[in-house]
Amino acid sequence: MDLRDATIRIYESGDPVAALRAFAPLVADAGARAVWTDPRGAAAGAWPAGARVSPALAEAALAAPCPTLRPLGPDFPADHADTPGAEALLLPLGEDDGALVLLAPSGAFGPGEGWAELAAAFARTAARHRERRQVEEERDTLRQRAEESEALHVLGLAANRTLDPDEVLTLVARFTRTLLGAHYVTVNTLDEGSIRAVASVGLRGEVAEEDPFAARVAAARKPLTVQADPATGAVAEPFHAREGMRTGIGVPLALFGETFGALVVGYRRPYELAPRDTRLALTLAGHAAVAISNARLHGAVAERTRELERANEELRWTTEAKDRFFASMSHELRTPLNAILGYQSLLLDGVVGELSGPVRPMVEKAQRSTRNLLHLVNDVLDLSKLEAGKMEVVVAPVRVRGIIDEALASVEPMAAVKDIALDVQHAPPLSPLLTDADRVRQILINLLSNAVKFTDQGRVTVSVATDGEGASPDSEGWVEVRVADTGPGIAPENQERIFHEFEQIVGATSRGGTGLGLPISRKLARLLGGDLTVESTLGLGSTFTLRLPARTDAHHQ
Amino acid sequence: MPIINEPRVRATEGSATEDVAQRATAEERAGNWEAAAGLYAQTFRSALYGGEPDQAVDALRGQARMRLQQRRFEEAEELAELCLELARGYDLPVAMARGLNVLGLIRFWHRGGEAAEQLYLSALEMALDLGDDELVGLVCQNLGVVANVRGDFREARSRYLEGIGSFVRSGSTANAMLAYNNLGMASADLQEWMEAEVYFSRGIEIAERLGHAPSAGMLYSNLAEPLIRVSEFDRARQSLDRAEAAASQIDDHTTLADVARYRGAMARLEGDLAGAEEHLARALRITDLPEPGLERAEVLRELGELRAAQGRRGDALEAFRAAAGLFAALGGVADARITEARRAEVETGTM
Repeated sequence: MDLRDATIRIYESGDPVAALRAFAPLVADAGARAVWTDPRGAAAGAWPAGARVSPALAEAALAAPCPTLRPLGPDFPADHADTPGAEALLLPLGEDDGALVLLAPSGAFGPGEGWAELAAAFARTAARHRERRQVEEERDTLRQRAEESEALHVLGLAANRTLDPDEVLTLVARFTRTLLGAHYVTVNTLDEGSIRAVASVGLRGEVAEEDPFAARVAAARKPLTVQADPATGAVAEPFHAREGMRTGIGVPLALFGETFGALVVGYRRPYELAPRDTRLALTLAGHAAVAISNARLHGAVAERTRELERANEELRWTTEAKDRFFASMSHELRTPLNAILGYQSLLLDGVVGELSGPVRPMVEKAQRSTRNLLHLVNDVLDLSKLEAGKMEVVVAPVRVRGIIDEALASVEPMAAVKDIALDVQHAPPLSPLLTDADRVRQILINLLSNAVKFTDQGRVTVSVATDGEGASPDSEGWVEVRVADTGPGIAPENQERIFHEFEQIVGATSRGGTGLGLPISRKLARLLGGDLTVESTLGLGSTFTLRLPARTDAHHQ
Repeated sequence: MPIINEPRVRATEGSATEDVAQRATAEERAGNWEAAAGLYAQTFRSALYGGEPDQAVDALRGQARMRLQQRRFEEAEELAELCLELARGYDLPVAMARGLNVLGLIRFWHRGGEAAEQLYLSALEMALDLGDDELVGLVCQNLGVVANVRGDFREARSRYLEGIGSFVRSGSTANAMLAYNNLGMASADLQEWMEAEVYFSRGIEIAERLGHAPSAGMLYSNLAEPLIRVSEFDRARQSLDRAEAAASQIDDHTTLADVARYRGAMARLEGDLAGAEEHLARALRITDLPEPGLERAEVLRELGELRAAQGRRGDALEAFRAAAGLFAALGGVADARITEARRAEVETGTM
């Protein structure tokens, strides 16, 4: 017996079983046996194949502190009966690798210090093999995980290609069935307290009823499993019993903390669920949840869009009706107002006789109110035309200076009454602008009226400026007419509000007016291709700037 | 003839039929259909006399598979039906499920998708009952092919995905590789180019890991289409170079024809009509076989595109007509319809 040679052969072996095969014949005579027991005493390898030792002998080998020779006497009757006259060499391999038992006729092992070394070699081979197997198992697990991740990614890609929830859920249900090796899968959603299947694959019957198991899973918000009763072979869930379920798992459908259903996986054969199955079912339920959530979101957006379209349509109709009403009423009101004004003039001019006593001031008051009313009706008519896009613009060469003079003339009496100075600072002579004279005049009269109305002392100044390029046929420059007053000024938060229809800021109402002048003026300015803006400081006054495009007619240069 | 999604079964180790069964499998892998059929027949007899009915049924199925490859449909069908009878008689559920699948394959190629679909669905049910994940995956692939040929590309995609689920579960990496290829083809049919690229690339990764050159060649060739469609010509050229290198090593005529066709399409799109003519002439030479396959129809369709680009309207119409006819004759209903539609566009000048 060459223990050194046997030890080398063990080292050269790839695994403990091969090692047994390689060295066992060398260390004992023919008829000898070798058995490797794992740390729990179970046989892990044997030479020749099928050789075994009793549990008592295996236990003694595991408990041996060092290589020990034991006769197979009364302590091990079963082994003694199997191999009469033999003795056992017990070689402990350490707590991870168990022990080796060699059986041979008495005296066959002889003395030898090499036994401990041989046992160590075997233990190292076993350890090396165990580690290699662990690495391989880990590699296989990782590869399996990678394959699963890749497949789930692929499912996600395909699912993202469609907004049809039925198609996505069918994809998920089918994929779940095969990835989990199941017979059928249902995807159930909660709807006003009841649960119903929105997709399924592999069912034998129709899904016309609620699945209480799915409802329980959704309520529990965690995976639940079902196993058939071994005696009856059926599960206690009626729906799934009819489907022939033997094993089942349900996982909740949840997204952003909301649980709104359950995915149920059914097996019609006995099946031992592994943690992998639960993990995959949860991942796939996530896909289904996203699909359902997307579908709901999509449905909600579509419904909201329809509502908004309906609201828009109603709004459009209402706006048109309002415009029609204002245009019509303004026309209808102007006719009788003109008649009233006409008769008032006849009365005041004494055409029908002198007005006596208190009658004249009464008629004068009535005439002022009628004019105010006519002014209001005109504003409303202008506004409705502007909003309906029906305000006509007549473009012709216009001398700005002339328009300013006309506008000033119309407010001079009011300024004189209030002792307000009116100043004009003209720019260098300008070529006639291509614009609508009536609309520019309307804007300037409105601005000057307001300025005089809101200024109690000081002055109102009209100035004209260009952006330096001057007016020309192809100019993209501007002409600005500024109306500055020394009135109370406008607070910053009100500077935009004054251009809104029917908005008058606090304190303005006492000065009279409809609140439509500035909104109409800005709309007119914009209709002419320009704009109307304001700069103001409380207590110091305001400056309104009418900006007009500096286009001119080449023939009138 | 397409990839046949049917599991090969190894004879039981140490049995009397093992050697001959292994030789049959080797001949089948080498594409020697007649030799493989003879060996499967020998395995069948040996297994039957040796009291190994499961081996006998598997061998019979192998023989049916070989007759299918030889397009001897009626003989293949008889063998598959006998296989089912034996499986039923000996109560061999696994063999029964596989027999249904192979009979479905034969009916598909012989009589069309409708004749096969119900058989596949029965095979799927049985495979699910047996927990035979690999067979589940293969049947799903076959159901996908039926949907694909019918022109229902979304259903095909869903079935291919289903198959991938089974292959991942069973660890059938090689089958998963082919399923990714199918998925890529369905996505290309749906003109989902980005997805098609992802799926073909995934298939290539697996093929290279497994060292499976023929599949790698086919996948590199297929990858060229989505790349060409998104004008990634340089990457498409690299992919075709790799496909050609792999296909040349094993003389894979189908892939070589596809490579030449894609090179032709790319040259046409780049305005090099003379270059396109050269590539297509090569593709036509490769596919000039006594029994032309789908790859010939694809080449004829591309020829139609080239003739249209050259302004040779009459020749273009003729090529499209020939392509559509061949697609229809080979069961490619959807491709025949698409090609007819293209011909009509060229004919009415809406090209």
